[in-house]
This record gives sequence, structure tokens and C-alpha cells, in this order.
Amino acid sequence: MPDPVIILQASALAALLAAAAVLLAGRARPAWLPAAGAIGLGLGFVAGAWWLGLAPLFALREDKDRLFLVLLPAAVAVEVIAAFSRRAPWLGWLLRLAVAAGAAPVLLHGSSYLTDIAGPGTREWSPEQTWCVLGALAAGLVANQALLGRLARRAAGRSVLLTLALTVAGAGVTVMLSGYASGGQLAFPLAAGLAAAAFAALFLPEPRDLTGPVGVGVVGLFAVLVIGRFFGTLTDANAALVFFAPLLGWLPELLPAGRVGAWGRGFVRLALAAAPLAVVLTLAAQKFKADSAPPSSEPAAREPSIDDYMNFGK
Amino acid sequence: MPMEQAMRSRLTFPALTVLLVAVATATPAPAADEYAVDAMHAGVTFKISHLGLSWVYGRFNDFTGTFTLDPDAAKCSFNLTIKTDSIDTANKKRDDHLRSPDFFNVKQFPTITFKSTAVKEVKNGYEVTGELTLHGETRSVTFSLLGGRKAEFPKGVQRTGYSTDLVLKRSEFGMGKFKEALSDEVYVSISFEGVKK
Repeated sequence: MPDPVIILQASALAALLAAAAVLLAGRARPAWLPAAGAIGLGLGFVAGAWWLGLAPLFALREDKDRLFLVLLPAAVAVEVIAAFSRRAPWLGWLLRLAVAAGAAPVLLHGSSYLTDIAGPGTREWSPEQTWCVLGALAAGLVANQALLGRLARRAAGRSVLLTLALTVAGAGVTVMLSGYASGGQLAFPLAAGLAAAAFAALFLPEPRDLTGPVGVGVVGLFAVLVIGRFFGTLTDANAALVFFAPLLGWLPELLPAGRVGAWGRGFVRLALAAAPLAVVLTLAAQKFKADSAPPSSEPAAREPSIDDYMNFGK
Repeated sequence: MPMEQAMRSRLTFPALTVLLVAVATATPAPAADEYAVDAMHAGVTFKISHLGLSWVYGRFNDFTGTFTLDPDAAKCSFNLTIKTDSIDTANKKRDDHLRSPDFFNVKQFPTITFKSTAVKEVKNGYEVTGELTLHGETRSVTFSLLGGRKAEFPKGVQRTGYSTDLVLKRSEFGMGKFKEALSDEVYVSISFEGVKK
């Protein structure tokens, strides 16, 4: 039952903040671009969530509170530090590793996966299972960040940001179809911010370092998928396919440099990422439809769509 | 002084004897009876208005409870624990959404609990006040619990039962999303039989 108009407004707000940060920093101090891009994207993400009525509560009781008040500020801070410590790149990667290790535990903090909420021994994961799951999630996040960051430096960054924006939007729809409507809605301001940062970069002189927003975008994508998987009903396969879809953007780098220009590679990059997203969205939509089946064999009235809810009474 | 001591001994002995006889022959105060909720003969159901047009009905399939009945109503107590994951509205898609952080957030708040803090006797039952913890928020609620008839079923098993209806505002428990489509008020009905332990 999300309101498409409010989602559009929230996305526009996030896009405005991200684009303004990229343009201002890129024009005034190009060296500040990765840091400013990360801050702009982070601010846009929070502002968009606030516009959607999903502002975090300082009590940190639920997943979204911890995302916006702990994980996102940490991810932005790491990108800012990394941007200003070029002579010690290991520092940035050490901090990214720390954020990757802490991301899933922060999002799942206090949940029945990690905590004995209903009495001793009631947590769902054994200590060994906890280490395996959290370790795998951290490894996936840091690997995706490293590979996309490297691709952004190699391929001028814009198409990587657009690929990431497309993936985040696809993740949002998939999570909404997986029983967690507001968790999926969060993705739209983030996707809009990423796309706006990419378009804003068109107006900046070369070289443009967009690794900051890429780093924050990957953490945001990770967060949307983790909350969709562990608090909604997103499947492991769909979550993994969506999360790693942007890495297909590496394939155009294998094409001969002379035949395909930068724009061509960017287009192929987007198309390659869109393919697994289309598969995941189709599967999620099919499951959503099957789960909506009426309890009896009697033919039901037409199932109301999101538009039906939005236009009710207008 | 030895004379005074002898007099006191002579007076104390008969007094003690009378007291002991009285204690031995007096009817003992009835003990409180403890009951466990018989989930097979109990239900936690709710209804919520959809678009102001109709009621959507749901239930929780997994819950446990205990209660103590005492002739002194103030000593009675009622406890109920409901597993939020067991919500059932006969539509899987809707149930999945209700389990998400948009509503019950079952992975973060797997139970709804009620613990009585005060019980008063009223006609045909009790007025019960207690702490209801739902979605991590604890609020005091008061409701009439009516019933109390007793039966032996099957033979040798003593049971009694009560029912109540109450209205909760979901926004008071941090569950205020989607108010355009779903009413804030949720009408809850609880009915249960208890088996004497």
C-alpha cells in the first residue's frame, strides 16, 4: 500500500541532495568528490526515508533504526576517511572491513537469530551457525565493495553508479514483493541518489572519483537485502542474485577496447545487471501471486493492486 | 516469686491446649487453584477494519497460559504468552506482511505477553488489570473476564473457562503503519479453558 507519489517525492529529495553534493564538490574541490558524494548520498538516503515516514527512532529498537543511526553513518564516515587518506589506502580498507564485519550483526541485533528473546536457548542460530552466516555476509559485502570500487576507478564510475542504482531499485521491488513493504520502499531514495550522482558527474571534468558513493551504495544495497531476507521472506537465491548482479559489470571490460567505447560499455554493463534482476523480479512476482491466492476454490474478486489502494476514495 | 511462676505455668498450659485443639479442628483456608490454559479449547482472535468497509479476521494459533484462582480475588492471577509468528488470517501473503517489521516484527518481538497486576471480583467473573507487552511496548490494560463455570471433563480433569473482549489501539504499541487502509482499533477476543493442575 505504498503511495507512489510520496515515493517519487522522497526519491526526488534524495536525488537533489546527492546531485548537489557531487556537483558542488566536483566543481570546487575535485579531491573532495568521493567524500562529498558519500555524504550527499547518505544524507539523501536518510532524508528520503524521513519523507516516506520511515524516520529512525533513537531507541534503535528495529532494523531500520539501526541502519540509519549506526550502519549508514559508519559507511559514510569510512568513505570520507578513505577519501582523505590516499597515502594509506590500507586504512580505508581496514575500516571497510570493520563495517562489513559489523553490518549484519548491527541489522540483526536483538533479533531471535542472535538473541535468546523467549528464554534461554531460544535463539535460532547456534554459535557456529552465527559465525558462518555473519562471516559469509561480511565476506560478500567486502568482496562486492572491493570489486565495484575497483571497477568504478577503472571505468570512470558513472555506469557503475547507474548499474548500482538499477540494482538497488530492483532490490526494493523484490523486498516489497517479499512481505516487507516499507523495507523495500527504502531502496527507492537510495537508487535515486545513486542515479542522480551519476548524472551530476556528467557535468564534471575528468577524472571523476566516484568510489565514495559506490561504497555507500553497496552497503545500502546489502542492508536492504539483509532486512528483506531476515525480517521479510526474501529467499537466499534471490538475495544473492540481486546483490552480485552489479559485478556482471566487469564483463564489458573483457571486450576489445577499440571496438566498444565508454558509452557502449556502460550500456552493456546496465543490460547485464538487468538480466538477473528481471529473473528475480519475475520469480518474486510469481510467488507473490501464488501467496495471494484465496483460501477457497471459489473464484475471488480481482485482487486489488497497489494503484487500487492509492486511488481509493479519490 | 516462685509462687507467681507456678501460677503462670498453670494458666499457660490450658491456654496452649485450647489453642492447639482449635488449630487442629478448624477448617483450613481454601488453597488457591492453579490452572494451565488448554490450547485445544481456547482461542485468541482479532478483527480489524479494512478501508472502513469490512472486517478482516485473524487468529494466533500458538499460545500458552496459566492462571490462579483464589477465593480472595486479589490473589488471583492470569498470564498469557502468544507467539506472534503463529498469526493466521487465511492469506499467506498478508500473514507474511503482518510478520514483517511493518507490523509485528516477529523476529525482533516473537511474543505478546500479558501478566495481571490486579484482579477484582465482579458479577460473573473478574475485572483484570495487567501489563500487556506487544511489539516491545508495555501498556497497562483492564478488561472484564467473564465466566468461571466449572466442569469435570474428561472424568478426573477439573476445568473452568473465561472469555473477554477488548479493544487495542495498535499505534500505542508502535504498530501504526498503513492507517489509510487499516483501522487503528483492533478488536481482540480471548476465550480459554484451563485445566486444574
